Amino acid sequence: MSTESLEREIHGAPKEGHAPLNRLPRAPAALLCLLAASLVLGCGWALIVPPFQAPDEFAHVAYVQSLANRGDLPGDPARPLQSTEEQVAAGAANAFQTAQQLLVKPEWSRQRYERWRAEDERLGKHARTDGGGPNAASSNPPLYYLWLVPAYKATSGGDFFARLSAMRLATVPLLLLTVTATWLLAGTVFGPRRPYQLAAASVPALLPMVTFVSGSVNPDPLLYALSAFVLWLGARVILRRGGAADVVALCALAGLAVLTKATAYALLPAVAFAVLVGAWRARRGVRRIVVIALAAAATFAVVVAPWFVIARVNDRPASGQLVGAGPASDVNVRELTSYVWQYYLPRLPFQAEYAPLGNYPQAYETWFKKAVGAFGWLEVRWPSTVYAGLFAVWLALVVAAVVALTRRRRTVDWMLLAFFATAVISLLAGLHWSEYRIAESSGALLSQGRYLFPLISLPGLVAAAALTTVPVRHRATALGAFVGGLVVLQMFAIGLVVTRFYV
Amino acid sequence: MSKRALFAFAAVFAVGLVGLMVAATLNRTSEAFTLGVVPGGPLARLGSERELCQKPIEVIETFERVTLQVGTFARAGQPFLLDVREVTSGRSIVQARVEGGYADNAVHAVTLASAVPKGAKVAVCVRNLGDRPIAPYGNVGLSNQTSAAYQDGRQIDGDMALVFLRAEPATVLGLVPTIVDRASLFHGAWASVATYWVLLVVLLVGPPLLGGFAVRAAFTDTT
Repeated sequence: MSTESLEREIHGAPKEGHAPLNRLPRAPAALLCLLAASLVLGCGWALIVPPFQAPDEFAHVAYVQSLANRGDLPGDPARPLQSTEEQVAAGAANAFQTAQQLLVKPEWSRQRYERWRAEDERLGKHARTDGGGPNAASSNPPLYYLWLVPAYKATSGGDFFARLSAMRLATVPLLLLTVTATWLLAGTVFGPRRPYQLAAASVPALLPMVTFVSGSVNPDPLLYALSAFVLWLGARVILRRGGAADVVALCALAGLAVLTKATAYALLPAVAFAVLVGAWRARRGVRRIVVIALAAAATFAVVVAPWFVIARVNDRPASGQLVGAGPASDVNVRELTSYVWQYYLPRLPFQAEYAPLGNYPQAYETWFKKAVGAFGWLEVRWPSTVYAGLFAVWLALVVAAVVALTRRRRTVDWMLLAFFATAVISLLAGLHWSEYRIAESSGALLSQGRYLFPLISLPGLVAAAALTTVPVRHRATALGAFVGGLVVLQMFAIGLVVTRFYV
Repeated sequence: MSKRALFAFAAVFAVGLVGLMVAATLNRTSEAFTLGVVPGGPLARLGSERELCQKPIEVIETFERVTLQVGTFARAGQPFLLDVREVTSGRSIVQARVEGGYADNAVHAVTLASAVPKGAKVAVCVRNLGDRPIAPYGNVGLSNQTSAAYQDGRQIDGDMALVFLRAEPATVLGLVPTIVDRASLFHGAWASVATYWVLLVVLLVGPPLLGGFAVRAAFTDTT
């Protein structure tokens, strides 16, 4: 991807009489403001949520500490799952008891806090290094945790909670990458039109669950960022806006995503689709297609191979969550199909009820409600009426986007739509496959709405497409109301979480 | 165009802000603080004149009422005494008597004669004044890490489920200083109360201002 094409992508077409500048493009003011708002909110979430009151934060922190203090990956069955330092700190903050229990509050006592500080100072050096055992995160690939090590090291002179805050704050920039990638994707799909780009990028920038997760210690925000860039580059490749460098970058980023979380394997069909369509559209013969495909595969392999070698040498799974459940041969295809059907649609007379499914439709319960508001360890929720209202807004956006698509059916690039559809279907298929296998052994459904956020750019595109259907004279009003509504949602979400933990 | 966008943004935000303030004013809570113990079941069987104490409890906020659940083994409720004592001296600070006749497993909000001040370190004891047994509710000993339950002076594996209430409910808006104070704990030594006041202001002002600028710039930016 040349500087000129990036220039065009971010800035729009060069003005008449102005040649593209051979320098880094200046970012649009709307994007900068949105990024700044997102940064403020991300930092706010990072500093407001009590320690460990985000999903699996105990385990992710233990992973970083193991890398930073022991120089080794966690997962040794002979070791405790977290260090003494982390355990003592979590105990002092009443973190274990508070997780998922609405009636229980984190520790509010300043005296208790001061006692912990004194206790913490008495802990020896080994208190940081005696963790490293298996936990919920230890089977994850290490990329995100390596990203946090500098932040952890830089604050290693501080107390445990200072390091935890530093790790959370070091995660926030990943949100900015997601927002930027969504902006670029919208620019690729709709052209460099600021209102549509702003509408699209506002979704990851301002949706409370995205900022909440991005303000916690969790590998998901890195996956969101990498996935968003994968979608952008994939769109560029399909639309032939880029060159070989885009293909290489696309595959390299897909590889980095795989090094972040096993969920990223679900992106690979879409990446392959983009590479093949891009190569086919180049119309330079089958041989050329094969060469591009091989180059793409090689790029991907170069990125992921070192981790596979390290995992092999250390006798640990390279993609833990893919192989964590029972053997694939145990899967009852008929039951799996029935489970997926009942997830979205009413049960048919000949289908047995799939016990782990809760309220119908489960898709609304899991994908929607937990994506728009399930903070803390999922226990902090909006009232049902708020979910219903937000769902109505979402449906309206989807309907408007479909109208926009129908209006432009002659000019729309169906391969681009197929690329997005491949990403959605493969992610959902992967999540259902994984959830079904876990449900078979545990009897519980463990999927969460945030698992869909690797594709958070797509709801952004839906919002932008919906905006195109608004009459021109009302478009500014609609965009202002949309972004304002998201900011208000943020305020209420922060209020909700503050009330749960501090009142 | 940009003015319309900005106006719509400002209007929606203003409505939202008013809504938030209204919600924070209408949302009232009596809870001063809690031990965070879920009343999972009867913690200990207390015969006549036997007592169960939870100690030491740091009084994080001044309270004047205590909520607890008491089982009576399917019989009519027995009278009991709720006694708040100084931990070190054992001296009673304030007491309240609950008369018998209440239902089995009833939840009691016991009003004390005077408030127990913030900063005190107390034991909260339930003494059975009746003839038949009663059983205050509680949960396993891990529920509260800073205090423990003692039956007739001997520590038992469990915690009493106690919730401490203010004399009058407070609005969430009125509790903002308390919220800021609580939120500043356990985020690192640098995280002072002043830092969190600044954070609150930045959060209230920054995103709406920047969001407004973004919306405006989307229609004026010609780059």
